[in-house]
Amino acid sequence: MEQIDDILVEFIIEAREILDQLDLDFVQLEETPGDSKLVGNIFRGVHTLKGNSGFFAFKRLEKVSHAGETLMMKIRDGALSLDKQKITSLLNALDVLREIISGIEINTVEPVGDDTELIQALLIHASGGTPSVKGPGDAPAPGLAPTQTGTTINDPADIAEARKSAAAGDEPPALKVAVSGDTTQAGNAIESVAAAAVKASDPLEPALATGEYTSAEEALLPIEMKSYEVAAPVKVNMEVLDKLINLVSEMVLARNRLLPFVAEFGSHNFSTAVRTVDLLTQELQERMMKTRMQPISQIWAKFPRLIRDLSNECQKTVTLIQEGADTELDRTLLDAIRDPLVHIIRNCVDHGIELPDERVRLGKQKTGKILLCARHENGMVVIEISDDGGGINFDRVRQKAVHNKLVTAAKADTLSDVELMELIFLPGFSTKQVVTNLSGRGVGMDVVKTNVTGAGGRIEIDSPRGKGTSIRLKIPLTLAIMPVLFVRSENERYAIPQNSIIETVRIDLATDATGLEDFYGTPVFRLRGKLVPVMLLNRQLNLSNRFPGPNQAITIVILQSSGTRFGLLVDEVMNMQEVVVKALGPLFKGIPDFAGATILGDGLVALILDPDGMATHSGLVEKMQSRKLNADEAKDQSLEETIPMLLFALSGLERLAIPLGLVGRLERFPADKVQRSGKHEVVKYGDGIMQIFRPNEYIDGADCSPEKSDKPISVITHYINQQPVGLVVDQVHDIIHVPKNTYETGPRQRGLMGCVLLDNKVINVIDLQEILMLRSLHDNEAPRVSVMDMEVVQ
Amino acid sequence: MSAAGNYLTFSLGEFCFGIITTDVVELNKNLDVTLVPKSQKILKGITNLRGQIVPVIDMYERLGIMLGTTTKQTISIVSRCHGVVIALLVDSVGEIIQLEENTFEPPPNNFSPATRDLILGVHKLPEKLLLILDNQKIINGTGEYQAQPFEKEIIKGIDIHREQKLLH
Repeated sequence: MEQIDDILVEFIIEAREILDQLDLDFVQLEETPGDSKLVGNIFRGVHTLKGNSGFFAFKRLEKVSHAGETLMMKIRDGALSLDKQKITSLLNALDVLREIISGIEINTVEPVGDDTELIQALLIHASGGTPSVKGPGDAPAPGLAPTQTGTTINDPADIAEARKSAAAGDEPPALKVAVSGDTTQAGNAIESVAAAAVKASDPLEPALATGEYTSAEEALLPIEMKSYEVAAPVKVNMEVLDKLINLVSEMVLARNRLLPFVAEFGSHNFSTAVRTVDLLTQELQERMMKTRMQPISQIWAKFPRLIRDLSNECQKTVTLIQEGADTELDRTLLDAIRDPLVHIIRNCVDHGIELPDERVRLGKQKTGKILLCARHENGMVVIEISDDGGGINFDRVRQKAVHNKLVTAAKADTLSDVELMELIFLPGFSTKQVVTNLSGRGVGMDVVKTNVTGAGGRIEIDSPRGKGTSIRLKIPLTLAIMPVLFVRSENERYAIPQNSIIETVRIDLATDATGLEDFYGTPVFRLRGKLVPVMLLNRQLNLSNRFPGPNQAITIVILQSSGTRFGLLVDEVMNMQEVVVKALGPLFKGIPDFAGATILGDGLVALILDPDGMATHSGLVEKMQSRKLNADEAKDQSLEETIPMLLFALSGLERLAIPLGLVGRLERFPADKVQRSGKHEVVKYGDGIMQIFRPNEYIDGADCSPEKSDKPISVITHYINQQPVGLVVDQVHDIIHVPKNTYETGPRQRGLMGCVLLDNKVINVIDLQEILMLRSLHDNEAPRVSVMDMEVVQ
Repeated sequence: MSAAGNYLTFSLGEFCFGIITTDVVELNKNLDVTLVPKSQKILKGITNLRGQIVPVIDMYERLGIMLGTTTKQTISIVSRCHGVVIALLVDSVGEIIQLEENTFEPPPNNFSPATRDLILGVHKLPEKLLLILDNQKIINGTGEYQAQPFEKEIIKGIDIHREQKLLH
């Protein structure tokens, strides 16, 4: 039983390989129709597949591949010539075969399906006829059919083809062969014309014009050779490799322990032996790391077919040029960038490259070009995808951004191209007006960005208007090694990935004016005037419940994660180091705080923290996102010159102001309506109850002695999470428009944000958050409050 | 499953346990254990076993035995459990003994459900009783640990999840 399974697995692997190779061969054959070697290869591939499926009695596989083989045989023998239609049918057959094989892999039996139509089409091709592809209803390849009509006018090859297919219907075979010979010639002619055009004028890629692209055959031949080489090496189980790598890193550690003895013993023979071990270990480690590296051509191999299909679907003509396909990177990273690359290429074809007519009008060559280029640079792998299409349509981006309410119309006009480019990465953003099955759904570049940054990489876009787009992905060579910062909390060492660290800050609480403040249950501190929430590592990890005392110096590591910035309070910042990252294993899966573990030089294990996980898990992200929204509003307002405020008076302070945005309503209540609930004063408000309080005691300079009077009270209502809170004030004056920026006079005063000048009179702006916070501290309760940031100018 | 075979004996306080040797990889003394905050109680932490990160199981917690005064927990039995290598922290290890079917008895009914699931049965030795542990259930326990999501993952094996977590 086991043995049969093994054979089946082998069959599936082999079938996949054959199909991948066939994909490549077909696409290339389309470029170089006369290549009899390629035709031979394809025929052999299909034949092997048929033979193998016969052995397993997979009837569907056998029938489809048989039909394909019949057609290929005719082509190989020269009885028929290969044209676009035939290739499309054959590629469809490959897709069906692939589907069947996936089915077999899951269930070990063939999935049920009807291939009659496809087989029919292949056989009609084989018998020299043309299946009614052009009929609107019964095309065997839906979606690909329109290509035929769309490109006929533009492409001489297609004209020839159309002529030939027209002829094929009613002419005897002999004549058809003659005509098809004509097609090949026509095809070659076009290529040389195209090549000449490339040579003559290509301002974007001078390198290409000089050599690499002299003819389509030459450009593509090396790729074909490469892909044969890739298949050749011995297959090694990844697990075996991983274990070997483990052993090697362990050996490196053992070597490290050995080295100090050299100095201790001082024997010459001993030290020579140790040096030799040292060198060999190093070499072994380097070689071992290489085994994980795989050429990027592994994922690129699928792209020629992808581009062929996409360009047919969009009715565009596109060639793909690959450079540096042998650039190597870590296997896990290869997986991580596969989808982003596919997406970017899809964008290039669908959005970037213009329709052939449009290109001719713009004075470009009719065939669009996509250049895929990979190279090593400063320990990173740089993958560049550039096209010579229209570039990013910034005006459309701007419109769409305003339409989706991402920015205000006024602000959108001031954004530069570079700033607009940032918007592309926002979730749900698409400039495509019509959603096609290729793109336009708005799930795109944000996913690309997530994947690439997840792999520790960066994206750069360069898009001069009208001249095409160039996207650069910069990815670290390997994921397994990561620079980290070690910190200590209590007696434990933890590693923080360096790419999420912004800075480390040391604050002496004894001398710092503000220090750690309590912001509704979350400790915060001021970093250059901006509030940053602080997470205590010892509390976060349940190590201890210690909180820094008032006269202590504290160390905070500022981290950036999931779009929020937060500080992590640690006991000590230790050293930076490059470490080998290991997974924690399934037993520790549910803990969001850790990204993995690493083994240190002394053989001990240290845990690697996951800032994203910690921020999300502790609810910080949620809190910060509600804050961020408010901060953005405040930013918008800072663009305008003034903001409206409500001018009011408290006893002792005649001219106070509160930003109007914080004011819900103004109310007056008769004094006898004020009732008590516990220690709070409340009034009936609408259908509910509103707490009211006198802010006097929380504002420096205000007169705190409560006046008992029977006069009606004026109340400014403010909503906290839809709950009204009333501030009792002496008198409400007016709404005023004052400059957005406030001035701080001397040391900060309690309850005041700063002051503004109006008609040469100083008006104090109250700090409502602080007042509410002081009050809730006073009450030992912490309702959550929405916040509005104001910028303070000294 | 036959109860006959070679068993490695080990002790936890006053109790004597046996574990089938085919599951045992090696024995270690004084492994440095790094604590993993917020993990389950039965997990003492992780350790470095020649470059491999191995979870360390506190067998007192796992078996629900009260910690006694004689607790040393210095020996680790490294064993394989559903393809995952784990280290079991015990007080001391005894000899490997060969046991026959005829001394074996299934676990008595008055064991707690969690323990009964973990103990295959008892071998009657001349001077004492040897509790036979089902090694495969140590991290795949039913009962109180069922709520933990990790159990389903174990069967699939860890290698699929290696490094993938880091990508996200």
